[in-house]
Amino acid sequence: MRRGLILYGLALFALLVQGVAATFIPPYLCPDLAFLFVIALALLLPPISGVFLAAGIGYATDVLAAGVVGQHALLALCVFGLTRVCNRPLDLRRPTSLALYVAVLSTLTAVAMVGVNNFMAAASSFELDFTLRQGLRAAVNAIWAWPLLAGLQRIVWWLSDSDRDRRGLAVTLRDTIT
Amino acid sequence: MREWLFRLRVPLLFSGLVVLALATMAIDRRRGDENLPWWSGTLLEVAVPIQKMVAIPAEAARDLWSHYIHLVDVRAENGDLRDRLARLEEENLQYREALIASGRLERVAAMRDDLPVPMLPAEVVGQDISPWYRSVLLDRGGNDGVRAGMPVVTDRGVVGLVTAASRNATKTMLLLDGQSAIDGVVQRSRAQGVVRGRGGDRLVFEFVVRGDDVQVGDDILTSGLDAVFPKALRIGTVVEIEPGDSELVKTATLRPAVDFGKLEQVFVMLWRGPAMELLYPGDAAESAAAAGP
Repeated sequence: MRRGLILYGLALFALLVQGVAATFIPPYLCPDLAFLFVIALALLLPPISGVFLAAGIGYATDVLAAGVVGQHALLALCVFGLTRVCNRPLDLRRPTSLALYVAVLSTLTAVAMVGVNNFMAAASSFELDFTLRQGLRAAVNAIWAWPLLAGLQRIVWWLSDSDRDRRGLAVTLRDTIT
Repeated sequence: MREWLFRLRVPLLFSGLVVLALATMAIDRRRGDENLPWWSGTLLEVAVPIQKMVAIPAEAARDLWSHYIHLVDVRAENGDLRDRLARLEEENLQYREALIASGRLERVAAMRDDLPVPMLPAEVVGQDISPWYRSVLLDRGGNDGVRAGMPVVTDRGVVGLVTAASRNATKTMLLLDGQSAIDGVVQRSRAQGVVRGRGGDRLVFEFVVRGDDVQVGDDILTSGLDAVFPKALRIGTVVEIEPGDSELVKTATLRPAVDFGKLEQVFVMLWRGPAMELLYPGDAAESAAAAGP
C-alpha cells in the first residue's frame, strides 16, 4: 500500500514536471512519462497493484491533458496488459528489446489515439509533420525507457516491505543485468 | 467457485477497469455541464502551484544558460571586453525588454479599448502532457469568473478556448489542437472559411469557395459567425495556398498570429458567445454576471 502510494505520487510529480518541461522544449521531444511509467510498472510490480496504478496514472493524465476523460486510462490499461503479455516472449528486461518494444508501441498508440480522435471529432491529423513528430517521439521514448525502468527498479526495491518482495525483484535485477 | 474466482482475479480486475474506463468516456462525452468532477478539479488545483514551483528552477537554468554559458567563449577571448560586453548586453536586454513591454502594453491597451469585454490576465503554467493534444493549463479559474467556453487571446491574436475550469485552474484548448475549428474571414477580400488546427505548428484555412480571393500574406480574422469568438480578432497569416482536388472549395495553410512556442501570459475574455451559452445552459446567468454590463 505504502509502496503503491509513493509510486503513484512519484508518477504524478513526473507528469507535472513533464507539463512544465513542454513549455521549454518542443512537446514531441519530451518523453511520454505516463506511458513509460506504465510499461515499467507492468515489468516491475505484481499484476494487481500494477493494474491499479496504471489505471490511476491514466486517469491523472486525463485530468491534466485535453480529450475525453477515460481515454488515457483505457490506453494505460491496454499498454499495461500488452506489456505483461509481451514480457516473456520478447524478454523486455533487456535494454535493446525494451527500446524496440517502446518505439513500436509508441507508434501504435499514436495511430490508435489519432484514430479515436478522428472518429470522435472528425479531425484529420495523418500528415507528414505528424508522422515525423511521432517518429521523433517514439525515438525519445525508446531512449528514456531503459534509464526510467532502471531507476524505478531501484525505488521499488527500496520501497519493498518484505525480503520476499526484494528477493523477487533481485531476480529481475539480475536478469536485467545479464 | 471461490477458487475459480481467485484464479481469475487478475483478468476479472483488468476487465472491470477497462469497462470502467469505457464507461467514464461515455459519461464524459454526454456530460452537459461544465463543472469538473471533484477529483478532477482537486488534481488541477494541486497541479498549478506545483508546476509553478517546478518552473522556477527550470527558468533559472534557462537564464543561466543564456546569460552565462554563452559568455564563456567571450571571456576566453578577452576578459576586459567580456565585462564590457556583458554590461552592454544587459543594458541592451533591459532596453529591449522595456521596448517590448511598452509595445505590448500599448497593444493590450488598444485591444482592451477595441473590445467591450472584460479581460482577465492569466499565466500559462503548463503544457498538455499528452502528445496528441495541444492545450495549456492557466493559473486562473472559476473563482476569477472563468468558465468553460470563454475565448482566450493575447495582444497578437486568438489563443484558444477554455474547455474546463476548476476553482483556481483552467484548461485551454489551443487553436493548434486537431479538434479546434473556428470561423475565419480574409481581412482584405472578406472571403470566408473555417480555420482548423492540425496538431502541429500550422493552421489550415479550409472550405473557402474556390472563386474567392485568398492570397499568400493575407491576414485571417475571426468572423464572429461561429458565435464563439468575437469578430475581428487576428488568427493568422496565409503562407501557402494548397492546390486541392475539389472544384468547389480550396484550402490554405496559415501561420498563427500567436507564437505558441513562447506563450507565457494570456487574457481570458470574461464573455461567452451564444453558441457556448447554448452548450453550457446551466451557467448562463452566472457567466453574464461575471462578464458585467
